[in-house]
Amino acid sequence: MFEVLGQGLLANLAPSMLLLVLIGTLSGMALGAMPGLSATMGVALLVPFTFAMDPTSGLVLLGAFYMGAIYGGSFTAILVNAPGTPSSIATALDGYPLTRQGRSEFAIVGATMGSFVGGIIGVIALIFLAPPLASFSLRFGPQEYFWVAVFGLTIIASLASGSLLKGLIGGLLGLLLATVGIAPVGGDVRFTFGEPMLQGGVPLVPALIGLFTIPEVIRLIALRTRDAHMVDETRQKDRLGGMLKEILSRPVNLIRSGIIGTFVGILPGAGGSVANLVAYNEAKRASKHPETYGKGEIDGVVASESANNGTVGGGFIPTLTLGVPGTPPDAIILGVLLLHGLRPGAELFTTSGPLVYTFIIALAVSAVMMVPVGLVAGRGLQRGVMALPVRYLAPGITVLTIIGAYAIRSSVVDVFIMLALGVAAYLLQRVGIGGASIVLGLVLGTIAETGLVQGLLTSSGAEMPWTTFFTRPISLVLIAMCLVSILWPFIQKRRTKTTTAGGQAAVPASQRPDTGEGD
Amino acid sequence: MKSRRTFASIVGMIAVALAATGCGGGGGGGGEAGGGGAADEFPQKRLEYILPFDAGGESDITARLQQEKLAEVLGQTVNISYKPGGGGALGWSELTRMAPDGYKFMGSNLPHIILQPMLRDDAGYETEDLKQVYIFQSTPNALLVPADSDIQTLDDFIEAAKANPGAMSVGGSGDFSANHIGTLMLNDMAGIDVTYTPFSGTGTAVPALLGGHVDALMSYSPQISQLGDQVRAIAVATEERMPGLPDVPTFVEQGHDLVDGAYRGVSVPTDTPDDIVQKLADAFEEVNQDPELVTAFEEQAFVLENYGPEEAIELTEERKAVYEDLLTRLELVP
Amino acid sequence: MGNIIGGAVVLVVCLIFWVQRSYSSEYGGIFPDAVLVALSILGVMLVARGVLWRDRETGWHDTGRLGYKDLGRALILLVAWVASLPILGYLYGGILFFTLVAVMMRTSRPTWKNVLLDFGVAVVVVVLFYLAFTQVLFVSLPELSL
Repeated sequence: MFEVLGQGLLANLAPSMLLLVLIGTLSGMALGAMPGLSATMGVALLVPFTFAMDPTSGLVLLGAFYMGAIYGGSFTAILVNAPGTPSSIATALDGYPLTRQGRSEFAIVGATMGSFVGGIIGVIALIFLAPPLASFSLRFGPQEYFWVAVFGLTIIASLASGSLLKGLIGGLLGLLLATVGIAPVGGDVRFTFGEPMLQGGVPLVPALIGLFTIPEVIRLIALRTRDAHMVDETRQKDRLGGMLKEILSRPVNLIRSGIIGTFVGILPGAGGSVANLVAYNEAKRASKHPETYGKGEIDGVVASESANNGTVGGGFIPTLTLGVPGTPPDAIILGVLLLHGLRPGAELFTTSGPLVYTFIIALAVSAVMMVPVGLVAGRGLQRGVMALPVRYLAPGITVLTIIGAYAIRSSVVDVFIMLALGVAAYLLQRVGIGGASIVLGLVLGTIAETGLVQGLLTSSGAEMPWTTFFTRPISLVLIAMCLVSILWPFIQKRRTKTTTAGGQAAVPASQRPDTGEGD
Repeated sequence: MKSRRTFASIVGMIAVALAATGCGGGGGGGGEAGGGGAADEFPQKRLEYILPFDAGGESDITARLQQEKLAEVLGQTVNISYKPGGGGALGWSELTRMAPDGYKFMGSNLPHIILQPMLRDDAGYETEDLKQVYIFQSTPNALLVPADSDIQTLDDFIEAAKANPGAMSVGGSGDFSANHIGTLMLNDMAGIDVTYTPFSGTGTAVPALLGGHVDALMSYSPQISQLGDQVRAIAVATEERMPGLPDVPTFVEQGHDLVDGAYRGVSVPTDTPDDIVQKLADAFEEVNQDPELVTAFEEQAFVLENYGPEEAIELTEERKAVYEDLLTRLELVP
Repeated sequence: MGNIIGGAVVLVVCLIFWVQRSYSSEYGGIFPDAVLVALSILGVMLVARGVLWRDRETGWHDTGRLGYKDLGRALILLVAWVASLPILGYLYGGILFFTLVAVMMRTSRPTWKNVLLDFGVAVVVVVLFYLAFTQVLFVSLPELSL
């Protein structure tokens, strides 16, 4: 194995290969930074080009592109509060507040380092732990997927720093929106209000853009921030060395989030959406100052980005060892493998060792390249955006949101849905129901419902199908994790209460200015 | 290679520009009036190949394979875009409202376009609203069990199902898909009662089988070779054994007349002129003979099909009658 | 007051969804029904909290006060922009409303020179995105249709 690994490494050091990885990473980043253009669409666009190449080069290009695209998604999340995919939701939660404080450069650097470390951890797991992790992922059945989604939803408890009641209402509103359209299991047509377009449900990307970005656009336009720039220009610039030092001074967060991303990434269908949220929640839980999360905490950005790039390597584990694509882009890359006559499975690593390891190492090389590329191009983009007067930034963001909502399905109706949800989110924000919890419900609702109903169907032989949700070992572990996650904020509150002795806690939570919901 | 593509897209751009100016002058109503002449010159601009599914599925891979070859045959660039939702229903209902000029055609699958309008109150389209241009590929149903399962043959499977009615779970891809109806047909023919559990696609159904969360999987033939020795295929729903899979017995030879699967093709709005439809069909026919594509299809255990516009209607009518009969007896038709 | 309004909105949403209920499969209703019931209960709780705690908390979320006039203008601009998409298309609608938003966000009375500058920026930004998407990425955008 180490021999082929070495060969793979050598193959990647060839200048032509390095150039290919660089091109893949750069174009992936550029595309990932456009809201509405998913990594999946980008990889699909690229496939015909790879037909003209030899299999190894083609796969290397696709892999590097994929890695870059996931990282590129952090730019819009940080700079304009527009997470282009569910995998960068948690990035926006703290990245955008940092931008409003004029520290977007710090956020970009954090995202870059997080992506780098997460990407590398995913690749290491893919090289050394693929078979055991793949068989572990198979133990997740419908019941476990249900609990994974519930676990994701428990984050609402820690998001809703204002009022838990309002956080829960937001989450349930999101779950309700998720039930619009064809039922994921059973095929019922639900809540379409007679409009065939709604059979497809509330489209995820337009909803993300609407719920996160539109309230910001409304705010910017209404504020008419004079001719000023969005952020305080007088603030002293952070220095790159200092920023790097601060980020790298907490390696535990970087590594833990990357591992979480890798592990969650091996779960087909759920990985990408859930990983960043779980990592964010864990970072907050482990933090000594959880109250800074949601208000511009760099560790939140780092956790989210480390996790979502970890899912790249993690997702390839079931793809390459079982032939089961972990994420939608993996499905395309799997298709390309098959077109070249390469059958996934444990023997793929031996029969086509050189190709497979060249591909895997290229993912790592791409993760490494993100650092210089991100620190130069990413910061350049950030400076460019920040230099714009708000007068141009606000309509510019609107242009992007329109394209982003439209491009996924080439549908004007999706743009209407985006704006309607955005305006609703703005108004709900006024009564303290934040967009972030609605988004969580919307993203996780389908996963939860699918797991619930499938679990009932597959266990229909049991006396009481319900009980299977509480008897399977992994389900029990997940239930325990859910309970800890729900109760933790209260435990934490109690702890701080005893240490600071009342004072702050006497003020009703909802009267405190609350930025915990990404506003 | 690369320069040719760039050249093609430049030509495409110029054509688009010309078409746009032409339309502005003519007032846009010329589609039908141009009739015969239009077909001779078709296509004049970039074509759009729309998939009613997400990127990354089998339809997508197939379309990407066809893309360049179609462009060569038709002499215009072909652009692929996506309109996913509702198991394809969203795209197909949209298709009925598109301009019937042949420049936009959409992937269309049997049995989806038969079953959705049949079983949903308002699918947004009727089967007849889509004019099928060509059916180029099919994937027969195949019944899979995990490799370590006790079930060796179809008879074992039926016996196990009879021992415990309703308790055996069979996974598959989607509701009212070929997998779903295949399971219902098997229930009907063998007099058994297994519970069908739909997954969001083959990609999520397969791990459920490998992990033992479902007892068997009604899937498509490409999975047999893709999953290798992790699974055992106990029957495939073709008339005769598939050339690529000589060891896998058919349902027919095991005593059950189950021959069914999913068919992939493309459709246009129903008002599209026949000669334009024919021109597109000819292009797909030619692409279907491309040796490179044939090998790629074979490698993935897709079955190459060649149904022109007329034959596609015949096939659709025939399948529709079969499904209607079965579903009416099962009282699933609303 | 904010809590009462918020809770009432939630209850109205539940009602709208409730009258649309119609499920055709055995398990199609489990999840949405559970969500609807839970959401209605929480909605009632929020209203109750608004009534009982009306002196303790306003229920409004402080998001930096915006004047109703400014807010109204922003909403009208955005809604008009999006509503014009099917007619004006991405390109012309984009240039028009980009310019409008930029001009209206100026605090001093705009001069013709200002308007021209904003228009120029609008053309550059909108056309650049248009070309990038339609010509490089082959993503079609809504076109002018009059």
